[in-house]
Amino acid sequence: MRRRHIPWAMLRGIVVLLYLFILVPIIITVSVSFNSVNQSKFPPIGFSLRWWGDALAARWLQPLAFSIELGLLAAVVSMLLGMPLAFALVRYRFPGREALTTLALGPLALPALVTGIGLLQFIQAAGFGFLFGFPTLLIGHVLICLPFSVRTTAISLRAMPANLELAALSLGATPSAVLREITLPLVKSGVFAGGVFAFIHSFTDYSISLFLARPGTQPITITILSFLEYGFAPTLAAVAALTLVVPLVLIAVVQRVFRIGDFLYAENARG
Amino acid sequence: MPVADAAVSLRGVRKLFGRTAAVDGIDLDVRQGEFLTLLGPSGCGKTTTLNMIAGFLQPDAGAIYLAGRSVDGLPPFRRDIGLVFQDYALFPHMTVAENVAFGLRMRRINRTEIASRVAAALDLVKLTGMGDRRPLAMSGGQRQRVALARALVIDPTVLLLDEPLSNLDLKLRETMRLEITEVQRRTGVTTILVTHDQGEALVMSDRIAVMNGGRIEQIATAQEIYECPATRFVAEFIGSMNAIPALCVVAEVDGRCSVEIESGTAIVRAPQKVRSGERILLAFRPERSRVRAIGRDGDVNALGTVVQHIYLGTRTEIHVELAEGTRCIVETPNDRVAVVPRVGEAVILTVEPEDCIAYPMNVSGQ
Amino acid sequence: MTQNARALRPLLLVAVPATFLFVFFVLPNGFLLVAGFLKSDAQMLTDEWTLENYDFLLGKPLYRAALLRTFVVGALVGVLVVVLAYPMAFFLARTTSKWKGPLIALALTPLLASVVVRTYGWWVLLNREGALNDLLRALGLTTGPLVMLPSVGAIVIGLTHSLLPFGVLTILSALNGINPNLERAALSLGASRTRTFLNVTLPMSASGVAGGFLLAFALAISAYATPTILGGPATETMATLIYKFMVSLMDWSIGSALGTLLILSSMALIAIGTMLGARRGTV
Repeated sequence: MRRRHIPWAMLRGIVVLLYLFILVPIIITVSVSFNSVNQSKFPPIGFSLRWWGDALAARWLQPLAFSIELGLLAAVVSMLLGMPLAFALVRYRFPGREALTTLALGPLALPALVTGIGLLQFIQAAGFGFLFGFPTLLIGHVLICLPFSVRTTAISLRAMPANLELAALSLGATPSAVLREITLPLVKSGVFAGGVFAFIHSFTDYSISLFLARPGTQPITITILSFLEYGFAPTLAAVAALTLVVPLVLIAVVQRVFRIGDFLYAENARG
Repeated sequence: MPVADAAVSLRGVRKLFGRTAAVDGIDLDVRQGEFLTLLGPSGCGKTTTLNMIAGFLQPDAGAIYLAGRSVDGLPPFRRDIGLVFQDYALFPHMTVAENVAFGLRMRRINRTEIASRVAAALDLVKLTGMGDRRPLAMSGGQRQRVALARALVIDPTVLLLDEPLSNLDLKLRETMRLEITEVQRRTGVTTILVTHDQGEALVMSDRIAVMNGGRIEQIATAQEIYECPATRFVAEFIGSMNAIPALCVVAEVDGRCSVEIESGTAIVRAPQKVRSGERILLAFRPERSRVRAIGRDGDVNALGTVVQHIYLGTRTEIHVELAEGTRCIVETPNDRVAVVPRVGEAVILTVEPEDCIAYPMNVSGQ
Repeated sequence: MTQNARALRPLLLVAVPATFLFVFFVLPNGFLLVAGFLKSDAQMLTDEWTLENYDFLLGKPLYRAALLRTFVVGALVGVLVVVLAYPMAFFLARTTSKWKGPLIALALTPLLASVVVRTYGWWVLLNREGALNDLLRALGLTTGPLVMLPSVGAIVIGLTHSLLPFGVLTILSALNGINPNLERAALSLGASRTRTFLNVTLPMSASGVAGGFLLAFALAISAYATPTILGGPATETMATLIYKFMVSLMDWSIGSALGTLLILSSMALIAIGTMLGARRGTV
């Protein structure tokens, strides 16, 4: 279809402005981190790497490493929990299926903030006090990551014609062989995409970590937030920019293996 | 036929979905090496029957035997069957050769034997050398053949084909019909085909089982089904059938009755029960009838007007509207002697009593 | 396999995840609901049932204002997000440029950046000695600094920026779901491209617009970082209040009551969305 010329050109102009709107604040943060003076000013004043040097101190690297570990762990656990759940919701019919689907997507639908305080109080009241600290934080992160895993696995499962499993059965494959040879290889990308989204969501989260983090088990986002109370130093900008690098690199790497974009449009993926 | 002699036997098989009987009492024996087709409209229960033979569904009543043994409770992967699905169901993450080898792998055949059997199977379906291709990169016809090879290579007790040709275009369908038949003759594997396409059934089968409403209305060779349809449903489902109302004068006991015609009465076949004095439908095939200027003694004669001609290459269809409003189709071959009457002309439609069958008039046709 | 064993299979599969969800999601939220009705004494939850928490929140003008503010901000953000996201989504859906994929990725990169990264940039831009003020002064448009931070306006801008990708995704998904033949049919029947857009495309993407609005609204009312960084004591929202009560004041019963209000608001939004047939958010 030939583009209408004038309106399309106008649209292009608007879109350029929108991209500027989206990207400028991020660019500003990154550029501030290269300021040579200890001020968060833009346009950049001079060029210096000293704030990046500061950013690589243990005080920042430790929470950063912690965030990465937490993210990986949350992603893996949510993949392990999400796979059987997605499988049951897509391939079987059973009483409570609708309710369970809503439940599985619940932590995404309700504010993570509130899930955090709820979890905090419940653990305290139920006497699970020993879970405070890292275990609770992990549980909270797994909760917010689980919906991603379920959704993307479900997308993969639905994309797989059911006949494939029947064909394998008819050819003599036992149900476990079907799982091993046919189902798992074909849902691989969905499961993995779920893991990637889960990691990013966990890594960038602050809402649920706000209440569940303790000193020593602080994700980098919370560390940055707490330091913001003391002012907006360029070091913080450098650290913040650093946190942008991790997911970017992850996506860049993953994109080479498979098209993760296919899993963005969940389209009412009800599991 | 005793269960032990047949490759596949069904005895009194029923399947209910909710309160509807999708399959309502099927008795069937498929002989070793036979090509049998389950033919019928959608909803007649043919696919459900196939799924029960395959083991994807369990019958609610009755028994199924494969090679003489009951398969009650036996899961599909222990039944030694070969299935070709309508959408082929090829594993997209495996090459053609890996697809074909799958069943052999599940049977723990050693690798060298697998390789040679896969190669032989690909030769059989004329896909020699295509083992390394991916199914997604192949045409519909090629995928069909891979599916066939995959099902045959395991040397199954029975080959089950679930409407395998419906996704192909016409020319390809006609080619594949013959190819599949040829492969079946060569391997001698017992085959059950499920289809709603009567052309397929007629071309490929040794016997056809026409199904309707969960029951088999007739099992016979293509010729018998075409020329002696046992029920009105079968008559109307296979090919086209004209039907004019007539009167049954006397119902004989041996499956015949005498009907009233112009010049008196004539004896026609009556495969279903009819009663003396009852109004019946007199059915006959278009190609057995003729249009003439004057009627013939001893024939069934009906006065009518020509309303349409349709030229079909090898033959012409003449649509005639009879005096009492029924429409009939007469087929004449397009040889040089044929004289085709003009539209609007008054003609006499004639057909010999031996070519007629009487069916009861009621709607269900049973 | 017997019929019974077959019926058990899905239950075995969901046993562990379902239990996990029940214990750590359903029960805590239930507890939250309960805690909102319990009295707090010396920073400990007691056994006493009371309505005073809700009384407190809904009674005191200060907190009522905060609640109202939260919803007003949410609605504004929702509207702004869909208004800005639509042109972008439309462009991305219809463009034939070979850069389509990368452009979509680019539009979504803010999702990879933590909110802190994005909001930081806004702070630099909008504060008293920030880039925008410098620019305005340089252009001679102002003499003294404009105080844009902290303010509700800044929060709205910051949240709109953060949530724009969600709007783009939702609307893009809706646009992609429109059968192209529908637009061709309209064109063939004599509708100009503008009229086709107004009469076919726009109405058919309405579910995406509604979904985007509701999603942005829901995320905006529960946002903590942006109101904290770009706001101040005079711009408390529900999220910042929750933090204050839960962490600073250690008054968990009020915190729970606030939390419950937030949950109920989210659920109301979901319910409205489902009734309107809005597309659910994708991320």
